Amino acid sequence: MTFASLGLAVAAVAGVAAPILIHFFLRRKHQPVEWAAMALLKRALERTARTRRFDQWILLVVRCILVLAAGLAIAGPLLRKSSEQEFAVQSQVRERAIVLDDGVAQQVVRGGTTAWEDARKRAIGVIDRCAPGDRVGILRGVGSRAMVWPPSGDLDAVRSELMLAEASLEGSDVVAAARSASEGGRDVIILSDFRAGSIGSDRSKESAPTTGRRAAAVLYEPQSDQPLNVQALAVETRSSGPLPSRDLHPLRVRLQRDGTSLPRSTSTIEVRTDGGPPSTLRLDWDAGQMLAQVDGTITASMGAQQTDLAVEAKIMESDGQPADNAVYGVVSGAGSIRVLLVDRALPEQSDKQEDTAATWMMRALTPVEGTDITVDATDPAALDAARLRGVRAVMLLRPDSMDAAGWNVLAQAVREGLVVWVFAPANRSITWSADFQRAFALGWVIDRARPKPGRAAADDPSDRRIEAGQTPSPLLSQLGAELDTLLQPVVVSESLSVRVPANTGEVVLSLSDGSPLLVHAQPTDCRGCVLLMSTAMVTDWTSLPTKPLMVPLVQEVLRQSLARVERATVERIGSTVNMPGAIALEPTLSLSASGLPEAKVIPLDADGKAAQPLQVPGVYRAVDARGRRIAWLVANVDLRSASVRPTSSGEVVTLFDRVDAIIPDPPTVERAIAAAPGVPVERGGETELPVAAALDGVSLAPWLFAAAILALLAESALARRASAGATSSALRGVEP
Amino acid sequence: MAETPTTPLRAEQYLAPETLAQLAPFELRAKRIAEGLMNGMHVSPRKGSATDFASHRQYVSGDSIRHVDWKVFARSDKLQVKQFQQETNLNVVVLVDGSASMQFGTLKTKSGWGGTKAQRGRIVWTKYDHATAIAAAISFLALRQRDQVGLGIFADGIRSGVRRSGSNDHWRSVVRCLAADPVESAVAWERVADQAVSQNPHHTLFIIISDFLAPPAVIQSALSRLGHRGHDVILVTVLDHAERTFNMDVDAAFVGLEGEPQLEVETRKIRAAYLAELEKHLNDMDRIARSFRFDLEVFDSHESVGPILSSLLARREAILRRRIRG
Repeated sequence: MTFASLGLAVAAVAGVAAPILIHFFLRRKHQPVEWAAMALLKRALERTARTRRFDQWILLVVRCILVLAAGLAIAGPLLRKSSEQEFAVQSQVRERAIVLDDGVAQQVVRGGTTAWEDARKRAIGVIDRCAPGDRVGILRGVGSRAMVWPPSGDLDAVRSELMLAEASLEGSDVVAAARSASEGGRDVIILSDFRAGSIGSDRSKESAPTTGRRAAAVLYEPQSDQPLNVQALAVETRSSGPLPSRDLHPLRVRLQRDGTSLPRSTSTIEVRTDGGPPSTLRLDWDAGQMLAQVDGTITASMGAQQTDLAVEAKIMESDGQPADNAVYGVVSGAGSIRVLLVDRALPEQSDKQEDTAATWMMRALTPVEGTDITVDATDPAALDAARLRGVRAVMLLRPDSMDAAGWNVLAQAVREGLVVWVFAPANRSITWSADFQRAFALGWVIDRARPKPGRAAADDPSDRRIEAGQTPSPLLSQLGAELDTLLQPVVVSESLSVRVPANTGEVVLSLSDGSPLLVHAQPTDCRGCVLLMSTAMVTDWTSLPTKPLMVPLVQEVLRQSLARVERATVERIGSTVNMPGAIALEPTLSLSASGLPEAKVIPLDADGKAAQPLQVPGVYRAVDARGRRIAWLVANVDLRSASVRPTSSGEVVTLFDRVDAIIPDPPTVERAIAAAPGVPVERGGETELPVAAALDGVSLAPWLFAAAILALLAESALARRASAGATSSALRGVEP
Repeated sequence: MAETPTTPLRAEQYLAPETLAQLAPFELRAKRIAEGLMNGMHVSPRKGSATDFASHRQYVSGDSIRHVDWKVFARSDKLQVKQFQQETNLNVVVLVDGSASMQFGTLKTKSGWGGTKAQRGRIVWTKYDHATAIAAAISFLALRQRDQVGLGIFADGIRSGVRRSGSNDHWRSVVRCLAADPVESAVAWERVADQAVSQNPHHTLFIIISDFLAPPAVIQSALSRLGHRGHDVILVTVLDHAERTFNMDVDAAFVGLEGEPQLEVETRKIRAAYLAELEKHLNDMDRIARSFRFDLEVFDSHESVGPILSSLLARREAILRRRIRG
């Protein structure tokens, strides 16, 4: 039996205590009445003592029954053992669809088991109670994918399929799956905790077609608990100065907490790479703190050509949602930064003793021996993809000497993460600007500025200085308060005219006349970035190479730009990979956990597309036909899909066309709520479910009301029974 | 102020308690009762002369020589005294229960009515009121018919009374005595009986007006003292209407008027049992009365006094005839 209002039923049972309490504790204080025939009265009391006591007990029992029957009748009792059993007792052969939520949100742990395991047990229970001849189909919540579809009458096979089913780390959308399952008017049983991650987006709701015949849906009541959950948001490169060891690599792990209460606690994060021992980081949470980050280093030996590290950061403490405790990333290996200097007059090849732009740049990049920056040089005409292997930044001092092929090579490298820093050539040529525009499509307008030959820059009163913005660019944030002091002595006497339309780039430094001096941009679909210095690194153009600003400016802009480079393509579990040029994805680091499939090589078709969505979190190498890595792919759990935030029955019902019953958890105490299709009752700003009899259940309310009325009549009769005696015949009145 | 009826009343009307209650002062009330009753009687048993000869008896010392029948003395040389009918009239002693239980009453009266006792601040017509009205009326009637009437008000004994007399102004003494309030004690029946016997050695008609709520065995013991001495007794049981019907719908704590312990009672639940007990009690009383050849009349204090007085008069006539016959 179930109740439309379980609270009222409980109240009715509790209400039985009222007549008992009244009977024993609230006896009325009687008014005194003087009487003469006390002896008769006393004998009458003695004579009726047993009867009155018996009557009182009967009366008490009847009153308890009255309260209980009335309360239970109001609570809306329904004669149905359970929804699963109700399905089983139907004599008519029916076709039913089970939507089994196997999404990552179902990995939430409650009571020592996961919601997924509970849902699977319930699904087996539904099948066990099906009548012979019934047909059952099962759709997964993840992608509405078929587990058993179309519905099958071989219930043993369906049960076996369920027993073998494994959970997924993909995001699910039970609403879309229910709509798919209900096509054809099937009854749908949705087995889900209805956490926020399982409901899916509103878009799926709108796009899902509504069937002509609205299907009956039975939901289990959404879970209301929200366990404490610590999520690993990201592991990323951390910019730092030179480290004592070339094998140490700085990184940063960002975490987030969610839950009903956020106590003071400690999280231990194990960081693992594919090339070295794991290291452990600790984070102390303050009470109520939701976001935090922890910095550390990891030790890994890197080859000469290796620039990146695949990293896994995993929270070691168990929490309410273990599926989002690990995050993967590719961080920049800090062993060395290879910079390629592209200039026609390379320092060692130049016969002249004067300082060229390349000379100044070499001094800025390697001011002392033993730094982590390695500088190579090449002629613009010799620049090709091979020369760029292992190179993380290109300093292009002679863009005017680049041909179209060279620009194409650079453009391709920028797409894969190269940092290209272009300087204005000292010969004042701007012919290269067209190729520059074509290669990176930034929309900048580069023009020639009026030169001032033969004059010392500092002597010209019209020479411009560098303006320090009120808020320094993030690229220069490490220089902090010293930036103004460093900028002050720098004079720029000549520069190209560069106009940067809005939203096409960031002006890092500008001159006193407002024209940009240093511009940064990340071209569309590129993981690398492009920097443009509008003046040449020669003293005829600017005094910058000779000033103290030169070294920190070049070092900081280069390092911060490299830190910004996305080192890998990041995808969510459940998405379909598309990596043109690659033939396969090879797992480098991957999550291994019980219930999860082992990470395998994912083959890609000729267009670079995978046949199956990503299922196992980890770092994958996208390799081409020759087995070379052409890109990193990082697959992480979608944190929105993993959200275990609880939802209310009202929220859930609004997502469906029609909900016939919401079964509370545990299902042994059930109630049925029939909601008008798509039209929940709005009252006081909150959605309220109208209570009604179950569509297929037998309401016991009329019987209980009848019992209550009978009890009421019995109570009246019993209460007045004692006064029904006849007047003594000997006392018949004497007429006046 | 008492309200005096301005229009003539039928006997039944002003023998009703409501009417009696309006008849103040007390003497007027009793006269109206008796007159109403007399007017209702068509034939008076005392229409003949009070000096009619009845029989002779032997002269004893102290007899008035006026009643010596000298003709008989002349014929037989024996002193015989003539006896007349007047001299065969009854000695009537009315005994009124003045105990605490007689203070009970439920008939409400208006302010200024003639109830004698206020119960909890309300003027009510009590059983004692009813008993005194009956006693006064009986006395009045008896005196009018030249009976000798005595009165006793008893509780734990005969506490007050009027000696037996047949004088014309004796009735006022009876009424004054009846105007006294009842006492707070219970009835000591055997003691009252002993006192009554000792005060009335000659054959007497005792009219005992009480609620007789004592145990029947006690009452039987008391009545046996009267019966064994050859007295005639009429038992007039006065009960309040509430006592007779117990038709109340209250849950109350009943407090005895004679000091009995309090009883918590739900009247609806014990009504039947109470009525059964009352019926049993009255049956016992009736059985006791019959065993002594006494008469028992049950009287409701909310009802008319006429029938009971008629019954009493008829009873008196029967006794007289029995004596005359010898």
